[in-house]
Amino acid sequence: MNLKKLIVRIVVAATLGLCAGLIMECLASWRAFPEFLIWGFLGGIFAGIVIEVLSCDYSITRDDLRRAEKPVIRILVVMAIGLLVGAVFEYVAVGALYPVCLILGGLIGLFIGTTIELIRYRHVIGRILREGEGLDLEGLPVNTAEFIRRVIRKMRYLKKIRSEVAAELAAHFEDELKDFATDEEKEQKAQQLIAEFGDVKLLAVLMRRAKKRCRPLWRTVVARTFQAVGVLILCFIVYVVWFLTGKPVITTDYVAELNSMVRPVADESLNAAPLYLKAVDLYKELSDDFLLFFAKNCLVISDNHSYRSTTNRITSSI
Amino acid sequence: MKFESQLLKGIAPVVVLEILSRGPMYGYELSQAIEQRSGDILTLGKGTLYPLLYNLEAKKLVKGKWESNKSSRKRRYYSITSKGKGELAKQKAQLEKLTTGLNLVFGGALAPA
Repeated sequence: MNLKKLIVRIVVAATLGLCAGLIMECLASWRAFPEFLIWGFLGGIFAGIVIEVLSCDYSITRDDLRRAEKPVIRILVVMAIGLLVGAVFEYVAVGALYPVCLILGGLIGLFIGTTIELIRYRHVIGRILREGEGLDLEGLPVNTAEFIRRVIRKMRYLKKIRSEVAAELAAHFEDELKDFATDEEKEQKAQQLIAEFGDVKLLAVLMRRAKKRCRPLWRTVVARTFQAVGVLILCFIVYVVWFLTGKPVITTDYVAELNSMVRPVADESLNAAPLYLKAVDLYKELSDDFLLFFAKNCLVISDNHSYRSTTNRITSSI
Repeated sequence: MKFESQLLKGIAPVVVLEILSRGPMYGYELSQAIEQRSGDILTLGKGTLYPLLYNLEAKKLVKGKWESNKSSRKRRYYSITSKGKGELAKQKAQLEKLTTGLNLVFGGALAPA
């Protein structure tokens, strides 16, 4: 069972679940709600773990499992705690139990439990598997074998590459020590050689970097793609947390903006009121001669009632 | 006199390519060859040798090949590629120019006796 492969498969399943949740929600309502995305994400993780459990190579013996302190039981316990916490939380919040919340609690518990278990896996089961890593370090002094193990462990790279590096280092040490007859001499010379190799961590880092440069382009592309997906998932989780915990704050008064858009805009140069006021100020009483002249020459007698009434009023005023 | 410094790190790839141009070798053999052919003046640190070989391999200047031996462990033999030969020629030309320049600066004091 390879931890890196396991994580990659779970991440892939979680991403697929996320995409499935998003697509389903978009098809259903043409909108994406974070709740459904979370459901899709959790469902994907769950599916990934189930697939992983079903497909992994259980070459670990019963004794190994006993040494690993029963991880399945621990996962179940954490899952049950999650279920219980979900139930209590829901009961306190709304006074009732809904299956959805119980399932969600259980899933979160399962997720946490599996994560804890994977962390433990590195230390417990990982060590068990490392013992049978297929490293051929026989015939080498103890300190040399331990040095090579430490180097390849700190390399943190593909198992195949690490095995190759270990084989190369083992061959190097064997050649260096072949002229020494006794184990004691070999140990002393090996110690000297280990000192010549320098810091284990630095050596491992240099080797990992150099080996990474050796990988083909497609492997680099795949690795970067998975890293990008991981970063996107992380960003999405942060976004969802921000979205769910945030409160709406009104920063723009859209009603006022709309009102201002529909309100008529008057050009002040077209405003006639000042002219009317000016005309009122300039008004002077007309003389009787003018009014008489106006009545005689400018007003035409017509059938229109308004004209006639106007003429009557002028003449009567005169 | 052991000659281990930043200067050696700079010319180490050229030295390794030069040694490998004479035939394929594995790591230990290569480190021994460098010491022998330089009269124990040049010593490539063990912690430098393998990362250097992997870097040269990544640049496709050398290529590694596992070969099994019945009497001992399998070994990874490194051989120079055609690209490596071209790079070696280029680096050697640069080194010759550098040596000429240094000789002129030191008034021929650097020239072998």
